[in-house]
Amino acid sequence: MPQFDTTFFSSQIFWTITSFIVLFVALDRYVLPHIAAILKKRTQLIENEIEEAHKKREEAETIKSEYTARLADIDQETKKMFAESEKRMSAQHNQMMDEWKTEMERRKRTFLEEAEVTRQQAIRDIRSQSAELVATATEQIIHQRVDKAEAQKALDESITELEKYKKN
Amino acid sequence: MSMDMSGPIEHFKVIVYHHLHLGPLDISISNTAIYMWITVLLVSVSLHALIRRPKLIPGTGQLLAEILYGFVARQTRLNIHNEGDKYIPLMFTLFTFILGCNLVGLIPGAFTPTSQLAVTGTLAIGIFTFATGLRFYRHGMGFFHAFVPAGVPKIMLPLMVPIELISYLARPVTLALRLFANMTAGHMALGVLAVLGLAAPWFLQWLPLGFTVVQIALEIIIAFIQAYIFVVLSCVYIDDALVDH
Repeated sequence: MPQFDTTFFSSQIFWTITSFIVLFVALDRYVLPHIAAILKKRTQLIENEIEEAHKKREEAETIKSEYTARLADIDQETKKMFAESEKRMSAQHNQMMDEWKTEMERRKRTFLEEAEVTRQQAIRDIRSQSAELVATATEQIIHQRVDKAEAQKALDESITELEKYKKN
Repeated sequence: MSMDMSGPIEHFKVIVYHHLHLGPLDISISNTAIYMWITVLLVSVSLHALIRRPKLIPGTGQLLAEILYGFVARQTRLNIHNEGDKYIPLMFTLFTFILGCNLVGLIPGAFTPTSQLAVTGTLAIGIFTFATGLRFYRHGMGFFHAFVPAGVPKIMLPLMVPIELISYLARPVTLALRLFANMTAGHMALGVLAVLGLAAPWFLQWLPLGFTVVQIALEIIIAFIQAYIFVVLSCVYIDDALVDH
């Protein structure tokens, strides 16, 4: 086989070594730094993006927990406000009811007082008018003049008798 | 691959185009040298063109270069533990050089530098020498501990040490022969099929010539596999030189 012919070995070895060194230098100087740099840059970018994503996620988690805590606070606050409001409304209701009751009591008392005054006045009016009526009637019956004082006296006595009778 | 009818080994012949001497050293320019130059030129120019203006979002060409680099870098890191990064340029050069030489030979009429024993032998001995030097540099006289396997009874040492020594010295031989034999066999098979195709009657020519197409596809795959095997074994030898025994 021609490959075993040692005549050309020295030149083949020489040019193999030379070609390999030339290729090594060319790749090491003009190709590999570009590839390594762009791969490093891309890796760096991806790592940064991942780190950024982690940060964003952590921020989101923090915001979420803060939001949850705030919601819980708001819920608590709302409950507290409702309780206070209910308490205040109840107190207000009770106060209004008390005031109303007092007012009703006062009005009832006033009404009763006024009614009593009116009744007394009516009684007095009735007595007065009845006395005149009795005097007139007596005068007409007995043709004797009875003055107003006597008629009043007679009427009072009659009424007293009537009241006594009523009590018995 | 030469298509002449003079036989399947004709295209392995070294043709000297220009006789040249450097002192006593013959450095004549032959087809081997020319096709290695073409390989060096093609590999460096094409890779430089692909990666000249690297972008963060790569185009097809840049992606191809990055895939090639990533593949070699991954294999180097996998096989040379802890210190793989340092040897990526060497392994990338070795891979692209062997792959380029293998593929250049598949162009019809071209010559395959890696089908020459002197070429594969130089590469294999180069790696072997580098690994041996590295082992001496790292371990000094501890270099010889590798030939005395741990836990072997002393009575077995006269048998084990020569076996280990032969196995160690066989590394460059197997490395060189594997690549050389694969490239030679593949191109011989292609040559035989082509000769058969041309020699066959006109109505049967399609059969061997059709097979050459399949064979070329297979050769492209073999070109990659052989470059890969050479690089992986080189990494293993370097890693073996770096670790303690």
